[in-house]
Amino acid sequence: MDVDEELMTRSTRDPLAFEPLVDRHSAILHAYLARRCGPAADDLLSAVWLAAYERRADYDAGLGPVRGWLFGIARNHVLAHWRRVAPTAAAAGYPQDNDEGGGWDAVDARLDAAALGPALRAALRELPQVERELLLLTAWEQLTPAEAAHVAGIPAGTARSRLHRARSRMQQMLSARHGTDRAGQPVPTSK
Amino acid sequence: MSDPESVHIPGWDQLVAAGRVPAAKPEVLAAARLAVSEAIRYDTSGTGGARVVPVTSASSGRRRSWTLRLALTGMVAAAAVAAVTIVQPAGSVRTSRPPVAAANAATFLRSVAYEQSARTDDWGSAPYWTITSTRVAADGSRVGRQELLAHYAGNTSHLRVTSPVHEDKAAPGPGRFSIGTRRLTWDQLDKLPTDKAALRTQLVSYANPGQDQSVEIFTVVGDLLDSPASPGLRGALYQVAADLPGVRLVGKVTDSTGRPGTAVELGDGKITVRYVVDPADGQLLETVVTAAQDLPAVPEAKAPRPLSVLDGVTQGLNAPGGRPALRAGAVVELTTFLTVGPARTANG
Repeated sequence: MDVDEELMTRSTRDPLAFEPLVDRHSAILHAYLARRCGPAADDLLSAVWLAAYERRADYDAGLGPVRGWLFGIARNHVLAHWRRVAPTAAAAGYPQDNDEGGGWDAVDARLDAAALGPALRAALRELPQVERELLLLTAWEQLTPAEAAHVAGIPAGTARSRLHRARSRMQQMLSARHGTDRAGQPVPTSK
Repeated sequence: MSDPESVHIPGWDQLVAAGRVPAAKPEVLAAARLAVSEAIRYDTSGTGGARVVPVTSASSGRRRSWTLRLALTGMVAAAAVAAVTIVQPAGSVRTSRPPVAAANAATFLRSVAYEQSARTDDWGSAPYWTITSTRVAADGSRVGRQELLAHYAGNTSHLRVTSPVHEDKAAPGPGRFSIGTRRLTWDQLDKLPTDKAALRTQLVSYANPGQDQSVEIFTVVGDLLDSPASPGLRGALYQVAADLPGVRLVGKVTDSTGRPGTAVELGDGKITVRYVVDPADGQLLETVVTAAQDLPAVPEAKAPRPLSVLDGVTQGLNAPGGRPALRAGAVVELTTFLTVGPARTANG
């Protein structure tokens, strides 16, 4: 049993055992929230921890590590946040992606701000929402495919195959646009 | 099954780099830790004291009619308001002390001054202060709102209007409390003197100039009583109010939500400002401003206008800034404080 798991299990009897988890995971949870909700992350962090504390008895070690479970709670808060701000964002002229409650807008804005190549942005945009989410959880949160599956609430096997498909699609789209071959190597341009 | 990582994506490193965000500020991490620590403290204290409770009548230890509350806040508001979590720090539990009975306003105010100053609440490090109130203006328009004013720069302040429309205005950083003509931060409130003479001088500087000074100070006292003023400051505020010439004990009343209270009031001939106070602990429940004489209408206006046009009555204006003519005795403005206190999060 790893440290997190032990603390979680113990905290159902001894709430004080929960406290160290906050210090262990606040930074990565905040980064996750900040990538998707911007400045609202500061407030959401406390809300996520309170929800996790209240629901600590629901944690099931059989379903995966504590980190994935915490991200799952954070994800619910991200979705709720976007549902809350959706009318405001629409009024401010941001395009709305109703399929995922507007969450893509924040991510896309982040990609834009990072001056990510338009091809990469476009390729991400074309992925189905669940594949994009899995891909970003592995790219940004450095989660394993199994952890990402836990966060998105889908079976690990499904997540692995969808991630594989997502990466293959990305590779195809980007190779076609960037002039790279399937191995990602630049293709000599013929003039 | 093949390893998803085996598929190389051109630009992957760029994508990873796009996810870089600045590290969370220490005060943000501290606020999260504090929130959890308080929850743990409650769960382990075993005293059943006070902690995260939904904002319902239970949080103030009083019964309140459901129908009345729904009527006050509107259907949308009911859902939004109920979702907010409030912290009542240990020590803020209402005691079973008998309510203050007094022969005159000064005696009553000095008694509640003592009750307030003797509170042991410690909300100096709470991340938010929340004020949930309903306000009825002179034209009958009704606004239900919740202000979540942040203490720390890392947090976001919110002004949530729940009726007649649902709106959430967020602003980065510490919230400011409207105190008379000024807007003070939580930290500025902490610096106010708790000596009553020094405090009175300070309150005069926050008052609208050119108005009846007693009424102005009385109004500013009310503004401060729903802010996170410390127990010492609250005590001093009631002491200042007790010494104001003309302050009058009305006696036992119920506020517009049916809560029992004791009313004190002060007028300047044009308006009368009444406070309904919980005699058990000095909590401000409601402020009612009524017209002491017929007041002319104030037309709607976008730009701020001089006090002279308002005939000295700054209260009771509706959203576009107008007010109908009022007969003597009519309500100029009525504000009911449903909950006032520290909150852990701004997550509504």
